[in-house]
Amino acid sequence: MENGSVPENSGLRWPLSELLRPGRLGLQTGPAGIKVRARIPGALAELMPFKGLDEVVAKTIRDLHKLELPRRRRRVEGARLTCTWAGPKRWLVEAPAIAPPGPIEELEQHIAGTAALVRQTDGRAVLQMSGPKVREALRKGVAIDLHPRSFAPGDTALTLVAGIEVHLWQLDDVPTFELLISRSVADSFWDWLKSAAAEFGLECAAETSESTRVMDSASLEELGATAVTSMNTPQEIK
Amino acid sequence: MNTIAAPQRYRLPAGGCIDRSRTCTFSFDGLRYTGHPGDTLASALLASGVRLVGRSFKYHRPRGIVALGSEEPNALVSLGSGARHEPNLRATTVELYDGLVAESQNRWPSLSFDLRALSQLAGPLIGAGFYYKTFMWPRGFWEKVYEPLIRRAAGLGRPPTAPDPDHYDKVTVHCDVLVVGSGPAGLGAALAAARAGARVVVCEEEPRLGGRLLIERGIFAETPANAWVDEVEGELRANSDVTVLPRTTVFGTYDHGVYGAVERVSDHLPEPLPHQPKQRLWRIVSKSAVLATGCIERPLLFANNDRPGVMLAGSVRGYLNGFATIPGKHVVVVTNNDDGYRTARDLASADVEVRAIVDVRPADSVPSERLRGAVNARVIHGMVREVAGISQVRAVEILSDDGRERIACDVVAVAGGWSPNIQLACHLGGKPVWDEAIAGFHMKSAPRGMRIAGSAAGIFSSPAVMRSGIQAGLECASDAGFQGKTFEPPAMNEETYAIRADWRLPAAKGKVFVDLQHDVSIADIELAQREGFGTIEHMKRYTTLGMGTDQGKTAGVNAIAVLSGLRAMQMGELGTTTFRPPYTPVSMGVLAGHHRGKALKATRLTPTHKWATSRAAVFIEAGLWLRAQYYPVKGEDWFAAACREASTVRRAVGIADVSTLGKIDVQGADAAVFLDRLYANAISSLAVGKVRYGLMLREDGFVFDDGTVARLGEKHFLVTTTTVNATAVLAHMERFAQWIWPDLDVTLTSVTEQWAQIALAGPRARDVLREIVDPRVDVSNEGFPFMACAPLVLRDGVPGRLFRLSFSGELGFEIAVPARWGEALARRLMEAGAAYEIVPYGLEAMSMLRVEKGHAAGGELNGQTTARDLGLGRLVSRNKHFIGRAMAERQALLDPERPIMVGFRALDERRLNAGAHVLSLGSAVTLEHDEGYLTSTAFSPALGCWIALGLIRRGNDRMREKVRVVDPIRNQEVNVEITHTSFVDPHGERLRA
Repeated sequence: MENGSVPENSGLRWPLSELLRPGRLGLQTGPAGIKVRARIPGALAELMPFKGLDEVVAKTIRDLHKLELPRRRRRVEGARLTCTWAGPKRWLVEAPAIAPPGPIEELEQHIAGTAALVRQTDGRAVLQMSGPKVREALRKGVAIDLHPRSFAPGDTALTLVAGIEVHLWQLDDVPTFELLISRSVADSFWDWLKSAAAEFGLECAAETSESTRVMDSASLEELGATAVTSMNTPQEIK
Repeated sequence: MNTIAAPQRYRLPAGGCIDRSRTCTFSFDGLRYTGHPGDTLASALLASGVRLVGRSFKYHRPRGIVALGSEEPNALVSLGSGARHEPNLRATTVELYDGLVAESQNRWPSLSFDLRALSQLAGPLIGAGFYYKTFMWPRGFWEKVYEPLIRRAAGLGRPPTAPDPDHYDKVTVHCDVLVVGSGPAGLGAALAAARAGARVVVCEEEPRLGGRLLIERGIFAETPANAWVDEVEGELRANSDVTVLPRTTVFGTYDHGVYGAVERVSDHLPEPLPHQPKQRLWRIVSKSAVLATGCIERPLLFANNDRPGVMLAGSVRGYLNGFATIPGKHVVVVTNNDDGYRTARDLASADVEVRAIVDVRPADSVPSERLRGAVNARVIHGMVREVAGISQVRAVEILSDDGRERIACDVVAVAGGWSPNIQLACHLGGKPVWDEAIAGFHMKSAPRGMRIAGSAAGIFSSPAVMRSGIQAGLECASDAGFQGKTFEPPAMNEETYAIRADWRLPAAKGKVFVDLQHDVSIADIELAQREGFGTIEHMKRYTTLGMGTDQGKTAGVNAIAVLSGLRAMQMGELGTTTFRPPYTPVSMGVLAGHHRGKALKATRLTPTHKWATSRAAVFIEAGLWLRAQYYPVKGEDWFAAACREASTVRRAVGIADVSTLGKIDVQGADAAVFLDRLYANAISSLAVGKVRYGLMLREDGFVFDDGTVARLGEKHFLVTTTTVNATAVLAHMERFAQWIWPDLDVTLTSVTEQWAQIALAGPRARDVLREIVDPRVDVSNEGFPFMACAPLVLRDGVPGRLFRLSFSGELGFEIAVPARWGEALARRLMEAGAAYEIVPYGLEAMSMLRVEKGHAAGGELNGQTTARDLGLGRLVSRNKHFIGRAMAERQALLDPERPIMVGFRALDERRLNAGAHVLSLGSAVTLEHDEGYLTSTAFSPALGCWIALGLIRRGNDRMREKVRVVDPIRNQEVNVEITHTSFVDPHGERLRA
C-alpha cells in the first residue's frame, strides 16, 4: 500500500512522512538549491558479530550476497542487501521491501549464534538530499568535511547535526546524501533543515516507500504463529 | 529629525572608494546627514564635520573618532530601534546605508551638554581601583545604591529588551589554508596557496578585500592598487576551492587548527534580505593558516590626548585616501617614525594645511629627502606638551629646544608606531616578545600550523610584506601536500619606518590617557604601581585598562611602556597581558545560531504524540522528550484531570505511553554474566520469558538507575532504564563492555526508538487486552502470570511483545509494537476499552499512582541514596560481584542513622511539597533538628489526602509517629504521620490478580 493512500487517522505513523509535504520552502526564486525527500526503508537492522566471529559473519554475508562487510566508514550495496559501517564491529543492514522471509529474515537464519541482528526499521527515518547547494546546507550542521576530496560516494559517517545523532552516507556524484536519524527527533531535525536550507530554496518531493505497510498473511504466519505457540515455552522472543 | 541634511563640508571633490552616484541619508542623535555607499558611519560623520561622537566611560569627557577600523576605542554608537536596536557598535565598522539611525551613548541629557561630565570633579574619588575602596561602607549599600548608580553612570549602550527578530547561522568549513586578512600579505598568501591547488579560505574584516592597499597611495610603483585587488579577487572567486569571506572577522584560534569567525552577512543592510541570516558563525577547520592581520597604530601620550580631533595618523590618511574625507582643515602631525610624514604628504597633496610635523625623534634621525620633500611643512623636533580645546582640538602646545610654542589646529594626527596584530597567535598561550628595532611586540614562534606574514610579523616595507605573504602561502600549501610556484608581485615602492619610541613625558596639568575607552590615564597606572599592583596583569585588573569592548587594542603597548618605565624594567621583561578570544565582540545571537527557544535542544516526540495532541493532552518535558502530562476534559485543570485519571486506573483501566523508557538490547554468550555484574541483584537466574526488577549501582555504591530486565532468550535480554538515564545507562554499559571487561561476549544497542510501548493498567486491563490480541494468545493469570514476557500478535496481525509489569500497583501489562503502529495501538486500546471506561493517563496520574504504591523514582534516585536507603537492601546480592558492591559496604553508608525511605501522610488537607524538611513535633526549625526531607509528593485520590515519600532517620522504627514537615521557602508547615511506603495494596494482591 502506498503511504499516500493511508488515511490520516489510520494510526500508521512514519516519521518525516507527514512533515515533508511536496512543495517549495524558503527562497522561492530560481532553481531550488536543495532537494529533499523521505525514503522509507524496507527493513533495517543492526548487525553485531559475537566475540571472535567477525570473519564467520563476513563470510556468511559474502556467501549470501557477494558483499564484503566494509572495514571502516564505507557502504556497500548488493542486489538484495546493503551494508553500512556503523561503528566498530557494527553494521547497518538494509533490505528492500520483500514480504517476510526477506533478506533480513534469511540473514537471521544464517547468522544465528554468530551475531546479534536487531531490527531498527521503525526506529529510524531516512532523508535523501541532493541539489547544487546540498553541501552548503549540510555544513551548517555537519562538522565533518563533505568536500569531494574527503568524502566520496559510498563513504559514510556517524556524526551530530544540531545536537542530533546522524548516520549519513553519500549515494552518488550528483551528489545525493542520505541521512539516517532517530524517529523521535524527526520533527526537530526537520526544523533545523528548513532553517538551514531556506536561503537556498528547499524542494520537497513525495516520499519513496519501500516498506510493506500491512502485514500480509504470510508475515502473520511467520511472526504470529510462532508467537502463539511459543507463548509459554522458553523460546527466543523476537 | 531635521529635514535638511548637513552638507558634507569635509568631503573632497574626488577620490576615495565611495559611490558618489548615490547618496545615503542617515541620522545621528536625531540630526540628518548624508553620505555615500562605501562610507562607514565614521567617515560620513567626519565628512559632515561631526567631531563629537561620544562621552567617555567614567569621566564623561567629550570624545571623537580616533581610528579607522575595529580598533576604535571611542566612537561607540547604538543602531536601530525596537527589537533591532543594537548597542556598542563601532562607528568605524558600521557600513552606511540609506535610512540608518544611530545614537550616541553614555551621555545625559545630550551629547554636547552632559551633566555627568561633572564627575571629572570627583576624579580623585573614582581613580583606579575605586570599586575596591570607595564603596565599602555601609555594606548593604553596595547592591541597592552604589552598584545601580555606577552602572547607570558608567554606561555603554542599553541592550534591546524584545527578542531578536533575525536569525543566525553556524557553518563548519574545512580547508588546507586559512588566510586571515587580505592586505598585501594576505592576498599574496591566498594567491600562492590557491594557485598551488590548496583549498583556501580568505577572511577579511572589511567589506572589500585589499586591506591597506585600498587606502594608501603609492604602494605599487605603477599598477593601480584597486585594479590589482579586483583582478586578484576575481581569480580567487573563480576558483571553486577558494572561499572568499569579506565582512568576516576571525575572532579566535582554537586547538588543532580550528578558528572561529563571524561573518556580518546583513549588518550593512537595514534588515536581512528574506531567508538570509543577520550574521554567520564560521568554524574554520584548517590544516594550516597564514596570519596576515597587519598592524594597529598606537596613539602618543600627552596631556588631553583624548580631545576630539586627536586621531591616529594612519587613520587620518585612510579617511583621506579611502573615503575622500578630511577630518579637519589645519593639521599638526606628531610622529616618532617616518610613517607620520606619509600622512603629512598625503594631506598636503589634498591641499590640507599641515601646520607642523612634530617629530619626537632627535634632529639627526629624519626621513629621506624624498619623503620630507613631498611634505613642505615645518618640522619641529620636540614633543606635544598638551592639547587645548574641550569638545574639539583648538591648538597644541609644543615643547622643543626652542622652548614652548602654541600652534592652532583642529586635528592632531598622532603616529606612535605600529603594533603587529598578533592576538590570534597568542590565543593558545603564545607569548609575544619585544623587538626594539620595530618598537613592538611580535611572535618568535606561532602555534602549530600557523605562519605569520607581513606587518603582523613586524615587516613594514610593502615589497617585503607581500613577498612574506607569498612565501607563507606556499609553505602552508606545501604542508597540505600542494607544491606551488612563487610569483613576482607588481613592482612596489620601498618604504622606511625608522621608529624611535620614547615614552618620556613633558610635565603638564591635563590627564594623559592610555586607554581611552575605559578612561585609564597614566595617573591610574602610577596609582596601581604605587599600591602594589605593578605586574602587567595586576595593573590591568586594578585599572581596568584593556578591559573595554576594544580590549585595549590601541592602549596595550603604551600601558606596558608606562608601567615598565615606572618600574625601571625592559618592555620585554614586563611582557603583555594575556590575549584571549574574541578579538572583537561577538554577539550572543550568532553563538546560539539556530539553537534558541524551543530549538535550544532537540525535542523527542513519542509514537503517540500526534494522537495525544488530538486528545488535547498537555505535555511536559522529560529530558528531551515531550510526554503527556494529563488529558483534560471539559475544562479540567491539571489536578482534577490527574485525580480522575488515577482514580479510573484504580477502579477500571487506563493507558499510558511508556515508550520513552530506555530500552537496551543485550545479546551474546556472556550477556547473563555481564548483566550479573552490572546489576546489584541476580539476573542470570532469570528464566526465559520472565522479567525482573533490576537495580544498578554506580561504582561509588550509590543507586544509579533502575528498570526491568526481560529475558527474551537464553543469550538475549531486553533491559529498560528510566527515561532520563537512558543514554547514561547505555554509555555506562558500553564503557564496561569495551574497556573493563573486553573479554566478555556481549553486544549492546538501544532499541528505544524501534518500539512503541503502552502501559495498560487497572482491574479491567485483561478484559481490554483480550479484545485486541490474537484470540490464540493466552493472557490468563495462569497462562501469563505477573512478571512474564512473551511475543505477541495483535488481532490485525501486528507483531509485538507483551510484558506483565506494573508501575501503578494495579493489574498491568505493557504492550510493545514497532513504532509505526504505536498510534494504532493506542486507538485500538481506547476502542476496546470504551466498554470498561478506559482513560489515557499522563505523567501526573502516573506519579500519583506510583507514590501511592511507594515505588522509588526520580526524586528518590537522586544520586545520594543507597539501596538500603530506598528499602531495597534485600535485593542486593551477597553471592556475586557487581559494580558498586565494595563501595556500597562503606561504613558510613551502612550507618543506621542514615535517613531511610518511608511514606508520609498529611494529617490535614494541606498540600505537601517535595524538598520540605522533616522535624520532630515541637523542635525548633533549625538545621540541627533536621531529620530528613520529602523526595516526592502527590495527592492520593485513593486516600483523599496528600501523601509523600521521603527520607528520615531511623524511619523503619518510627511507623505511625507524628512529625511535621517544614517548607521554609513556601513558608508552610504541615503535620504528617510516618507510614510504610506502600499506601495502596501493600501485599501486591492486585498486581498478581
